[in-house]
This record gives sequence, C-alpha cells and structure tokens, in this order.
Amino acid sequence: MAELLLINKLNFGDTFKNFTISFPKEKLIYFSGKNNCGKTTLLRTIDRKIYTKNNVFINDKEINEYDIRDYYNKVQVLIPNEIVFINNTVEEEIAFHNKDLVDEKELISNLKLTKYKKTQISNLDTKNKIKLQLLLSLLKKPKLLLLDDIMSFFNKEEVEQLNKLFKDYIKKYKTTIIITTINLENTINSDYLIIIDDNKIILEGKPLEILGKDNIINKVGLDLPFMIDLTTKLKDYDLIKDIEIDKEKLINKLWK
Amino acid sequence: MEIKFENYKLKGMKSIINLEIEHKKITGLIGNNNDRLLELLSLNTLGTGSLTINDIKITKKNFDPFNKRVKIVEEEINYNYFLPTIKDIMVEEIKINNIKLEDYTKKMRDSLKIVGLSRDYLNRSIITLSGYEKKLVLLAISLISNPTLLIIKEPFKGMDLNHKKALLRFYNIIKDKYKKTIIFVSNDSNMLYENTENIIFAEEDEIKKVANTNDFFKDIDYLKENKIDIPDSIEFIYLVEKKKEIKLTYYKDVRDILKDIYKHV
Repeated sequence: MAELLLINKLNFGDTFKNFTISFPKEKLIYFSGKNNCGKTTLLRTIDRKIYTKNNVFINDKEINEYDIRDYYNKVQVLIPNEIVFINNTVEEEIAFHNKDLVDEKELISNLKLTKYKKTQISNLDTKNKIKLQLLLSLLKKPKLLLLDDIMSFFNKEEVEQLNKLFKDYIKKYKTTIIITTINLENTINSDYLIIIDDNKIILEGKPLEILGKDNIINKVGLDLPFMIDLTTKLKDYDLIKDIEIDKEKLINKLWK
Repeated sequence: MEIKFENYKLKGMKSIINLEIEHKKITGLIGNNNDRLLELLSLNTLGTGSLTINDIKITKKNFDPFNKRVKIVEEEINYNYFLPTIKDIMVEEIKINNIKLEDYTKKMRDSLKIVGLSRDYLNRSIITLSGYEKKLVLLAISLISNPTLLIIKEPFKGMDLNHKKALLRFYNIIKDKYKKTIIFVSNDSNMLYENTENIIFAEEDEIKKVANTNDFFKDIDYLKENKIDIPDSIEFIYLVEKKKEIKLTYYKDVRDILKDIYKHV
C-alpha cells in the first residue's frame, strides 16, 4: 500500500519513544488504543501544534518544509472541544470559509445541516457544531483529514452514514481520512485499522481480519463489538467458521 | 434522595411531568431534546404542581436547600479561549454555589481524592488532561457542593474497557457508600441496558415511558416504533426466537449467551 503519512522515531514525553508508524494513502483509517496511549498527541504532532523535527513526513516531505498556509489547506484537523467559530449563523460561517465557492449543497445535505443554515451557531448542539466544522474541513478538499474521536458524538446509524460519506469523499477527492476512536464498533466498515499500545503498533490491517484477535484486543484494554466478541467465541467452539457481523446471517449459520 | 413529581412542570414547558426518581438507584434517561426536562430535574427553579423530596412536600419556603442538592455533570469541559487550572474551575464552582467552608483547599483536595486523583491535579491545566482525567475532574467538581442527586451526561463516553470498569466501580461507590442517587443521560442503549435499573424515555421534554430497564429494552416493538437502538444482545436473542423459534435466555454477558447457544445448536 502506498504511504501518505510517516511518523518516524517520534519522541514525546512518556508517551512516545522512537515511535514509528505509517498510514496508507486514500483510505478511511481508524486509529485506536486505550486512553492515554497518545492518539490525540499524535494528531497534534501532525497538526504542528507540537513541534517536531524530521519526525513527520507527508508524501515524503518533512512537514516543516511545507509553506504554512499550504500545509493547513492540505491538512485539516478536527478536535471536538477545540472548535472555534467566527460568525453568527451557520450560513455565514460556511460563506466565510468557502471562498473557493466549492459546491457545498450536497455535503450540507449529506451532513443533514440544511435545516440549520439560518441557525445561530451558539444555538447548535455539540453534534451539529462538529458536523459544521467537518463540513468546513471537507470544503477545503484536504489531502489529509484528521478527526479526533468525533464518532463518539453520533449514534450507530449516524456513524454508518458518516463512514459511507467519508468513503465516497475519499474516492472522489483522493483524500486520506484518519479517525481516532476507542469504540471498535465504529471501525468495522472502514478500510484500515491500527491499534497501538505502550508505544507499539499491536495490530494493523483490514478491520475484520484483526478484530478477530480478541485476546490481544482485550489485553490492550479495548471492548470488542458484540458481534465480533460473540462470533470469535463461537469460532473457538467450532460452531462457525468465520467472523460474522450480521445477526441474521449468524443465526442462519448456527441453525441451518 | 427520592424525588416525586406530580402534575409538575416549569414555565414554558408543554407537558406536565409525573415521575418518581428512586433513591440509591441508577436510572437512565434516554431520548432527545430534553434540556428543559433536565432543568426540571436539576431543581434550579421551582415549578408548578406537586414536588416531594424524601416525603417532604416542597414549597417556596422550604425549596432553598434542596435546589443545591442536584448537580448536572456535563459531558465535556469546554474552555475554548481561556485555559484555566482545575483549581480555578473549582474556585468558580464554590463561588457560583455560594458554598461556605472553613478550608476550601481541603474540600477541593477531598473531591479529587474521592474520584482517585491526587492533589497535584489542582495546578494542572485542562488542556494537559486526557479524556479519562477530564471525566474524573468533572465528577470531582460536581462533588464539591455535596449533591444528593447526580445527573451524569454520557457517563462512559470515550472510555476504554478498564476505565469503564473503574468508573462503574466509582459510580456504585457513590451510590452505595455516599448514598447518592444517579441518573445517566445517554442514547447508548447497550450502556444503559448493562448499567441502569430503571429507564425514563423522554422526547422534547415529554416523558413517554418509565419502566424497569430489562422490561423497557425487551419491548422490541416499542423500541422500533420510537427509533431507540435495541441493545445488541437483546436484538440477537429476539431474532433467534423470531426466526428459529428457539428461546434463549436474555443474558447480558456474551459468555452466558454463548453457553446458551451451545445447548441449543
């Protein structure tokens, strides 16, 4: 797989010591690990909020070599409780940021923000503020979009819709999207999953391939999604051959 | 603290509320757009109708001490522009609640200790905290005013398995040892099914249903009708019965479900 982003021998406090990781291009990637393992710290490093030298490379170029304005157009980062808006209404904020007049209607509709266009941003709930910030980031057509645990603000159905939106966006604009998460349920329909623990990559690969390693995942301190948990145990008892995420399909496999 | 609302509402609310919050239990509140209902439960202002707390009928005359006994614990600490220390936030909390103490620093340290954080956290800035630490700090801040009812929004959001277990232990300690009543506010059906004893379902500040947690989540038709996520284990067991006419027991633990499946395969 072609690599977009490389973190090379990163050192940061007690969190990272000579830590190296790469992220493939043009994929929807979930990046997971227990609390305090450094997920947000890594995002801040890529966002240049934590200074590094010769540790972070995008398309083989060290991030400090990029022109700063160009960098922040190419790399968008969303950390939910650090969102700041400048204007009064949703419409005004979109107009302010969308100076290139990118066609926003479809994205606004897909993010279910249409009815909020005239709403004062201060009256939006957290979920819709996040969606607004997400919209503003997507309008910039970044090469790399980093989202810090945003899925924890959405229900199951909304997570599925967002994952689909991201995959379609990646196909259209050749973006790479990396989302940090604790909840492995969110990762099932993504392209790639990386789990880290104690300064090491513990597991990486296609989600359904690695989520079956339940012992490792539990040892790391993460919860398995219900169907993964159940079917890996059923597999251990030779009651089924493969992991199954669909409940009805599993029932048909168990009771033919 | 046991609270009974009968034909009760706040000014501007569309519907009256009839509700009983049971003492020393964890109740779940599920549903959307319930800000006014939360305001009602937080006892910030006295509404119209009957309000009884611990069998005491509440009036304008005796309302004052009770309105400080409820604390809403928010999901997140949001300080976009000014990044204070934990101590700054706690001092503000003491001022807002007009708490009179001999030793404020001791109170702050004790609150941190109850949630398992050391006194060093007083001088930490919010931005240096992990998600788990922020959660504990929010709980510590809420405990300063010594509330009897804690309304906790998204009590486990962003927590890994070990921290969820630690938080659950903490919530049970404050319920059993410190005799606090707890309401979890969330739309996470799986979490509410596993961790609460009663459920209040409300939409747009109107209470639609109150039931024992198990009964609430087993009423699949009701959940579907009201677009409430069905807990995964319940949905699986329900589908087994519906599709194959096999009755599995409604276990919550995957290992128990597995043993039950094994008996029937």
